[in-house]
Amino acid sequence: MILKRIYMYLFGVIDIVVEGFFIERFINICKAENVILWSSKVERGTVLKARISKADFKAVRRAAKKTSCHVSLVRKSGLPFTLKKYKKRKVFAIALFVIAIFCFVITRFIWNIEITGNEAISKEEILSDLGKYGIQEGKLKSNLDLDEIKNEIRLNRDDLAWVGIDIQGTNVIVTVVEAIKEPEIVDESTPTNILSDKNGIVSKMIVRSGTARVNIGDSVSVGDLLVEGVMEGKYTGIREVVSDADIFVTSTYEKERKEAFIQQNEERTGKVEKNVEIYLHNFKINFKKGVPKFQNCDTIKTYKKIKLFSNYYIPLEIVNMAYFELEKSFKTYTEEELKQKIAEDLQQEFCEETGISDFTKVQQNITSVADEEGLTLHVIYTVEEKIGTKE
Amino acid sequence: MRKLERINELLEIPREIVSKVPKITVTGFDEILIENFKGILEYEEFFVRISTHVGNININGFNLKLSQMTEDDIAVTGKIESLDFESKRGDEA
Repeated sequence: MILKRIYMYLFGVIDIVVEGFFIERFINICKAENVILWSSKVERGTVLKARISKADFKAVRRAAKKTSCHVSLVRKSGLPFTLKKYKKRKVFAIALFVIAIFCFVITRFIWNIEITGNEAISKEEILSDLGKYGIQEGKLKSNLDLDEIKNEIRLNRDDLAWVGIDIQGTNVIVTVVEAIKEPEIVDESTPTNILSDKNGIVSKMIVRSGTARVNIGDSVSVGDLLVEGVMEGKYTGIREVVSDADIFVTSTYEKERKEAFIQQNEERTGKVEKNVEIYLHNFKINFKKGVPKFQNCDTIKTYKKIKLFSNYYIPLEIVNMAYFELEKSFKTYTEEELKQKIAEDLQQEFCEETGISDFTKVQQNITSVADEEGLTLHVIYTVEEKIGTKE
Repeated sequence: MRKLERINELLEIPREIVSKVPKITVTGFDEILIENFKGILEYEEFFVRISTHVGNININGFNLKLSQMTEDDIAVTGKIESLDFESKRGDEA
């Protein structure tokens, strides 16, 4: 049935009504002329409604003439008739053609680069590497030797284990696998010492090989010898070994900050001004001119690339800009509030500086001094850390 | 002629392909497909008479339509009440 429909559409179908007294003869003549009649129906014995293909119409006319029937055309449908209808609309046809060519041309280029799998290496770095070999937004994608590029990039960088480049539509999907730095091979034959790399007081020592040169409770500073790579035996005498030990020290960090009770804050008032910018591959189109009318504002930009379908990006980027008005306000803290605020800020700062993620193991000792203007907070953090570098 | 039929029988070729004998397929009570038909003798909404090489086929019913007609097959659809055959006299089949 679907095939029949397609056939009907492709070749053009005509609905006819035949009126006359010799309908049977008319049908027989049609049969003799190889005319295919569909869904024909007789009404009141003298009227035949039928459907024929466009090419058979002349034969049907002839048959009707022979049997002195009257043929009238009810409806024409199908591709040939539709085309005929659009024949006069030249501009439309040209526009359709131009759009088709435009789409074809635009999909020859790269309009988006997706990079996945990178953690340590920045996206910009990979993009600049790709750019050297011609993978860039707005470049032709045809004459790219992907295998060659993959190899080149991988060979030029030590920190990449694998690079995959896949072009889908106008989208380039780059997948990288970063190489894990190979561990330094400890040469077991040459004796080594362990040196301190932090300041603190030794709290715990586990020495597996070598001789400890510090005791628990000793204070050490950077560069001090902790474990020497020698072993003394009663019978073996002194021999040199590779030292291996876990040394823990408790180290203290001090932080101090003074903040006023009355502080100026910037808060969003809730007023928003929006603006849209459109980028036609680096060419900017502004819809609203000028800058926002707010004196102080946060600007938040959201980028959106337009794609025709799944991987067919086009060089069109919509940037939605939102300006949030800021208002300066003064906030008065109580002593307790301010103390907590500064403590939290300092804690965060401390964690960032030392790289400690688990703050529960850290002891903190807070002393605060308040005066008329503000509060001075002095915090001492005590941490147990593993130290030691081999040498 | 007889020999040819024998060969056909031996090769199991369907009869309607080799000879002009019609093949009538009735699907339910609402569709009849007649292959190898010769022509239409009468066509009304309630009665269709189709001639074949071995005789005529009369179809009685309501709302009968010739849903498809090509060079040698014809499909009649509609509510079919009865179907009868008039074999040609002197036909050897």
